Amino acid sequence: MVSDSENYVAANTSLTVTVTAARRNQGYWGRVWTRLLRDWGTLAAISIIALILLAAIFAPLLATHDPTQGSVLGRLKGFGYNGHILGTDETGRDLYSRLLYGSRLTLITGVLPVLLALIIGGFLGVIAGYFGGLINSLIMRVMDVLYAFPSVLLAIAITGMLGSGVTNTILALTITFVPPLVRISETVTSQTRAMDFIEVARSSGAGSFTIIRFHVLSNILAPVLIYATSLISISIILAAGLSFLGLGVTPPNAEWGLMLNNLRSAIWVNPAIAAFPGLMIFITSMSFNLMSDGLRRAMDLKL
Amino acid sequence: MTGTNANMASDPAIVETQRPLLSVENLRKHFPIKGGLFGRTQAVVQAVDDVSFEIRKGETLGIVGESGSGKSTTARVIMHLFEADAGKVVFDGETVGRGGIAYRELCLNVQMVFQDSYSALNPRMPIGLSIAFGSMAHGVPRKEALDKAAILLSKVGLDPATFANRYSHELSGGQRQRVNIARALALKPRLILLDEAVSALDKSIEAQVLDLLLDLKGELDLTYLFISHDLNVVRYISDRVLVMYLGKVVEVGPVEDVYENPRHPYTRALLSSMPSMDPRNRTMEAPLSGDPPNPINPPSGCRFRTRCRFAETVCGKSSPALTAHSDMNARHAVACHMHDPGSGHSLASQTEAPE
Amino acid sequence: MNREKILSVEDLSVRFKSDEGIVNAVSDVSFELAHGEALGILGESGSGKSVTLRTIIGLLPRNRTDIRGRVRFDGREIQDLSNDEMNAIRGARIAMVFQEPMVAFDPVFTVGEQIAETIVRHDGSSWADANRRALDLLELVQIPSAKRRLASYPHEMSGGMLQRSMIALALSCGPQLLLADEPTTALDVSVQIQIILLLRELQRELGMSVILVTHDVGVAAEISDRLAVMYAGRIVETGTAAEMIEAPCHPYTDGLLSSTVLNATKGKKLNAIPGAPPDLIALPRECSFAPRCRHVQQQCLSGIPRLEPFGKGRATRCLRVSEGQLELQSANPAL
Repeated sequence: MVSDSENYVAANTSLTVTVTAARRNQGYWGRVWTRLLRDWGTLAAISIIALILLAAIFAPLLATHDPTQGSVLGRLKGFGYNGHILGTDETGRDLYSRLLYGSRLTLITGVLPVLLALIIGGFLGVIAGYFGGLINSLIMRVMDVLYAFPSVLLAIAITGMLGSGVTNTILALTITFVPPLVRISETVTSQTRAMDFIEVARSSGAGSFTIIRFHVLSNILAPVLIYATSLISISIILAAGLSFLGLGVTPPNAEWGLMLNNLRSAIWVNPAIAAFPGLMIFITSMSFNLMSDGLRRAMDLKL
Repeated sequence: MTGTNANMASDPAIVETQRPLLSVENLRKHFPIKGGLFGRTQAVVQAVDDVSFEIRKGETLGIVGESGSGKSTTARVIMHLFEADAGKVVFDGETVGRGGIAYRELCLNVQMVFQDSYSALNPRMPIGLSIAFGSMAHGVPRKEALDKAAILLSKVGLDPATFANRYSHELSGGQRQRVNIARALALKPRLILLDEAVSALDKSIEAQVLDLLLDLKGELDLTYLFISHDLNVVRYISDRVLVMYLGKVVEVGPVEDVYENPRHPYTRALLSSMPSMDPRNRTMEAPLSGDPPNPINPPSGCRFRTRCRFAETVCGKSSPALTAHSDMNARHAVACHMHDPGSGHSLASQTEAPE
Repeated sequence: MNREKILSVEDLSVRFKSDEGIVNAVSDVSFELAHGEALGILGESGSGKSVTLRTIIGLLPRNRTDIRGRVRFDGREIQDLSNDEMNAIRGARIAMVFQEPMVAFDPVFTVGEQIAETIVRHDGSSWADANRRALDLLELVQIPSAKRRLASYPHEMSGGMLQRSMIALALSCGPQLLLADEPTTALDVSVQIQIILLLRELQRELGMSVILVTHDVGVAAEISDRLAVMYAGRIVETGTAAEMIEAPCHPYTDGLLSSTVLNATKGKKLNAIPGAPPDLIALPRECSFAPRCRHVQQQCLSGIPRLEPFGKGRATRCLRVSEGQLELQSANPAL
């Protein structure tokens, strides 16, 4: 009887090994990586984001001029005027240098609110989704109230109240992004909560905190992270919008939205120059969107 | 040899002297259905109602019943995944909960294997870690828990070197259920609740997993509560069987006794509903008509009376108690007025008389 | 001419394209079905039984599937038909009953509306006529208080009742061939036997041919005149139901019948078939059951065995039969 069962174990394992090993010889993250490497669109998007990030970090080294140094004579000049690669803006400042420096504030107002909202919203959403009941109703009804306002309106209202400036823009955008992040993390948490492995974990005597740390977070990470990345582009556009309306970053700081606003009038004089900040906003937000799509494809478990 | 422990346990002389490993007394679990604007309770699902039974050390107790019979809820209440509304669970002489052994301690003694092998494993966790998680939750260092998980994997017939770092979706259904069994074994439990543990598997794989369960039972001195809707499997693996209908126990007894000589009309109907396996001698009449009723607002008195061909007025008035009657094996009990001489059912005296 | 076959399938092979390779779902399947005959196709998940069924009714996505071989229904070659011609046959002359009636019905229409709609679409009859027919059909499948049930939505019905309605829907245009894909798997035992009896009765009364796909030997034995056992996309054994269950000869059939719990002695280990079915992407060029077979010999590894006829209307893909090594009456003494 003993040798019989050993035989069957051996037969069983050897067979299954040949079946699966041939196709799957790497772990989950290994496969995500291979899939990303094969996805040219996503790779391009990630490279663009990396380039912009590097430009932001090394702006002082890459800039050719002081971004706040204007010139009364050299306003709204074309490409290559007097050493200004991309020309000058409406007060004669070097556009290339301002775009470089502007990427810093744009990235900060794009990424930071989403990151903060991810932490706050993710926390609230997981609590609401895991514990359910009264806690869930409490959190979710408050979010419903915030949800009732369109995000643009909410951001405008908050900055209108708090006053303009980088900190207030970040604060306003964070508040704007908390509700959608709470909602998505609540949804995926309660979906995960309904799976048997949560009951398995509970029946092994683990406490709620341990279960959330080991079993819930690992399962909600991908969908919530992917959703958050897609918010970055919205955040960039909203921040630019706020600056454009004069509610965000204040002059003379360089920020793409603000630059777009200021160059608005130059559209009749030198349209090519006026288009640059807008183009940069478009490319950056598009890249974040493409990256989020690519991540979703790469992190899919079922493939 | 491996089979001896199971055989010993089914020997009544040995079993009777032992204290039951688990006893469930008057367990009740009702789920309110809330609805409407203010979330008022609209109806109550009487999932488990006044259920009592014992599991003896080393035996396998089978629970059979159709959907809505409360068999899975019973297991989940024992495992404290649902809080019971009433009744108590006694493990090895000690009451679980207030004044008795703590829930965390119960987890070390009782473990559960679920039907859906995929849902029961965290898809984002390598299976080695899934197995080790329970021990880690009880304070075993990660390294040690993982080493133990590897041993358990080979115990359930999976090579740890190949499988420990795999994810559950890379495994077949049979392999996943082996992992779930290894996971349940990690805390060295004495009782394992198997909730439809082989039901989702293909027949040839089901046989492999049943073989494994029998091997492990002998080797590790386990006791099983085996829940299934598959009457053949329950007959094969169980020493005793408990038949549930709409949240109540209608019959309990040694498995051969119940299968060969069913007393409750529901048990009889259920057993003769099984396909005949012989194309020359096919089933000609369905023993029951209609679907099992919903456990929301079940019938008064005996819950089976709405589908029972022997139902009389008495059946609607009072709920029959689960009793071992004089003409039956002492360990065989049934909840039916027909078998109770004092019930006033017109067939009661006749069934009692012969033998 | 009265023994003309309603359906004949010849050398059917179905392959799917997937990211990981080409899945050989069905390979070299041939069988015939006479008028009024009930065939049971028995197999485990991935054996190709459901795919075979879906090929017959033309439900597979054409762009991702590679179908070879011939399916002849009532004198017409199914694979040569246009989409429109196929739509006219599907539902009207070949109908299908699915495993999950809850999913097969549209939740926003009543059961009556859905049955009547099918009748109007296929027969062009008036809605009044169609509604009357729908009521008749619900009565035919023995749904209590059929008139009231006509106006019920799918979620208001129990599983057994829905499966009866599903059968009524399938029968709505008087099909000659009924395909049933695991029709009782989702149901409780006491309801399962009711549906089995209903199917058998309807088949006899209406003179339909039936193909039943199931993993459950018991269900197959209750309905089928003939059985075909599939393994890894191939039929490994066919024959009359009674003979096959009494004396299975392919080791896989034998394993399905005797090494499951059905005939096992209590407390003794089951003689479980070891291992798992092969990967359909990389099917071996030998007997696909060989790695799990307890009778495996050197010749088994030299090629794929043919479906060799023997006895009265039986055939098997096992070398032991063609070489006369097998004593046919030995297996499964319990029956």
